Amino acid sequence: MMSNAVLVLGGNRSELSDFTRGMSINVAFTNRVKITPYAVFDEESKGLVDVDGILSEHPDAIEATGTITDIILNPAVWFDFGRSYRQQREVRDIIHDSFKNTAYLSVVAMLIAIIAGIGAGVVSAVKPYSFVDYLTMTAALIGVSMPVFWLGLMLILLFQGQLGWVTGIGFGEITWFKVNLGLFSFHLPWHQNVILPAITLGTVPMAIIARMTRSSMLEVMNLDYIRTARAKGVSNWNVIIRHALKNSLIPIITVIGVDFALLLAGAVLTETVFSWPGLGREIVDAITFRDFPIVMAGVVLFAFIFVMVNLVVDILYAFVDPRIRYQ
Amino acid sequence: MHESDSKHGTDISRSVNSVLGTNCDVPGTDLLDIRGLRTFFHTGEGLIKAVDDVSFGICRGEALGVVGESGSGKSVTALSIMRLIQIPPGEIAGGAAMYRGKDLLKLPESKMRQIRGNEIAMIFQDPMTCLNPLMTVGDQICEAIILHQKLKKRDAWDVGISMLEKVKIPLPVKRMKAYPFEMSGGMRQRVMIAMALSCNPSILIADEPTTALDVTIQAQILELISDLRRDTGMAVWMITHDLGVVAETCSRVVVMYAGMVMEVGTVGQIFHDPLHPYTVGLLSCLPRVDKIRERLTPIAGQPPNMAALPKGCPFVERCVRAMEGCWENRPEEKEVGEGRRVRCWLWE
Ligand SMILES: Nc1ncnc2c1ncn2[C@@H]1O[C@H](COP(=O)(O)OP(=O)(O)OP(=O)(O)O)[C@@H](O)[C@H]1O
Ligand SMILES: [Mg+2]
Repeated sequence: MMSNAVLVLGGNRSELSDFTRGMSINVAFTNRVKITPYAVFDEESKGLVDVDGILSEHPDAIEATGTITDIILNPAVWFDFGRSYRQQREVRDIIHDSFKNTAYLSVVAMLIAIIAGIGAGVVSAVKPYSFVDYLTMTAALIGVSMPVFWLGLMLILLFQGQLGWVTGIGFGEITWFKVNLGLFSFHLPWHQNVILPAITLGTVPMAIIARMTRSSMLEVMNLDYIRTARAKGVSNWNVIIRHALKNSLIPIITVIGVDFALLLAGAVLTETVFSWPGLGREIVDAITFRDFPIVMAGVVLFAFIFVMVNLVVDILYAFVDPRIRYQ
Repeated sequence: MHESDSKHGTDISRSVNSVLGTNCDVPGTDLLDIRGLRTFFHTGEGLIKAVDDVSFGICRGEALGVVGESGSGKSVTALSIMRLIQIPPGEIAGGAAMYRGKDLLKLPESKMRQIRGNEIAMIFQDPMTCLNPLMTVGDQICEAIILHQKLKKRDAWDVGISMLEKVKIPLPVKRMKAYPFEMSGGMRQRVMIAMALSCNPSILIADEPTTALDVTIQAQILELISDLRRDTGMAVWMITHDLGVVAETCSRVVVMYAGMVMEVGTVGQIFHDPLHPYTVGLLSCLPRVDKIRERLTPIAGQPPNMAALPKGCPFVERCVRAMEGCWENRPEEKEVGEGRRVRCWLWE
């Protein structure tokens, strides 16, 4: 069950209220987190604020009061949420550390999902209603419906317990390797413990991408210009990759964007199963302990991530399709 | 040539004379010879015999018209020869298509690819949807050139520019970099033609190349195709349901109905001395300026349901000269003169 909590506070009592004044944020809380709607922590009295009481006295407390200067001076705009109540560190640093780990995991998971998902979708679309198609799509259906924590535990059991291919779990050492691209070179981090959580995390997006690729490709494969390409004598694979796949990319990019944003917002279950110190766990811990500065920083960060990912997706559309232009 | 298709009636004989300057002396089976082609579709409604025992030939450099109402199997015949029928639901159930000593229907796919676009090229009805919207015109033209002529990209690009010149597209150097959506329908059809001709095919299959265009553009495109045929010596297989187009561009005509060939003859024979009642019906749908007639007479009834054809002649339900036997027995094709065939009990 989901419930929405609106954080509001009137007056000018704390850092927290500076931020919340004039803003309301919808947070989706899971059932597990016992929190009442309209609960706000007040730093001075170190207790919960009786929001209902304040609202009955000052009904205009939730009204937006910000001018441009207020907004610019608002520390939240600079991602300054003060200190965590529980950890006695700057919220910014806490979020930075855990987001770094989440981002790394998400990128690896997404790479796996994109490569395997598009590959499976293309193979399915090339021979629709064949054995391979049914096999891939059944696998995708299972992938979409698989509980993530169960999959994670099974992977640990198999690859670490039975086969012993993977040794470490949790956040271990990072090695840097150099990528040489002729003119310039750079270093990429490699984290050997990332593989299992990345597969776990990437399974659902992979399945979604595979299904989207298949349906989008099937639609395109029947279009006139595909027949034109075949009539030119273009080989089957070139028709599929150069003509059909490229024309199917728009919906695929869209789901990749949405899924990537979701992963970046932290994956509590995967992070918990693999003891990965990521954003999802940090936020859930913060919610459990009512460490509001962290929760709010997380919410603002999620909003920012979604906006940015959507922006990037929109820009990518224009790269794929010359008919799309932004003035 | 003629400006539009609305006044072809007066020009039929002139058209015929102007196009009969082909090197096909004996009509028949010079370059491509299709014999007994059958293409079926297995659909939910049952077996559709979209092409049922179709035979005709195309000579080097000739312009052959294939006419018939919508659904008569004109496109499926051409697509079967190009081996572009989707299998399943389609199935090439029989026949042969001899091209330079090879049966196209039996060639392995890799050999067939060397023929498609290289020796037999095809252009389609709707230029708005037949070009890949994400590739530049130049890339689409060059794709075939690079593939078949093994040229480098830069050389292929030059060939592409000269092709655009040939199909009379202004500013060809600039147009090569344009995307299809930046062009008009007529322009796109010219691009399609340039693409099809870029490897000097010996046969150009034009599947209703002007149906989607407006009348003045239609005339320009037809003239372009005729001119290019004369210049390059390729054969043109013109698919259309417009007899006016046939009169303007072709020397021989194949009339199709319900997946079968009903009549074959020269343009003169078909227009002046039609044998099959279906051909007569098609001609009487045609406006003519030289005869004062009050109304055009359409062929009665609907095009047939391909999943449930009559047992006898497929045209019997709509035929004004249907006889008793026509309902029971299907007529065979009969040779009634040199290169002239008809499938009708009237001529048995
Ligand atoms: N993929 C397919 N599946 C099932 N039936 C098909 C398929 N393609 C064509 N047909 C059937 O084959 C028959 C002939 O179609 P075809 O496209 O050759 O007609 P046409 O003569 O080209 O008509 P038009 O003038 O409309 O282009 C039609 O009855 C059509 O329903
Ligand atoms: Mg057609």
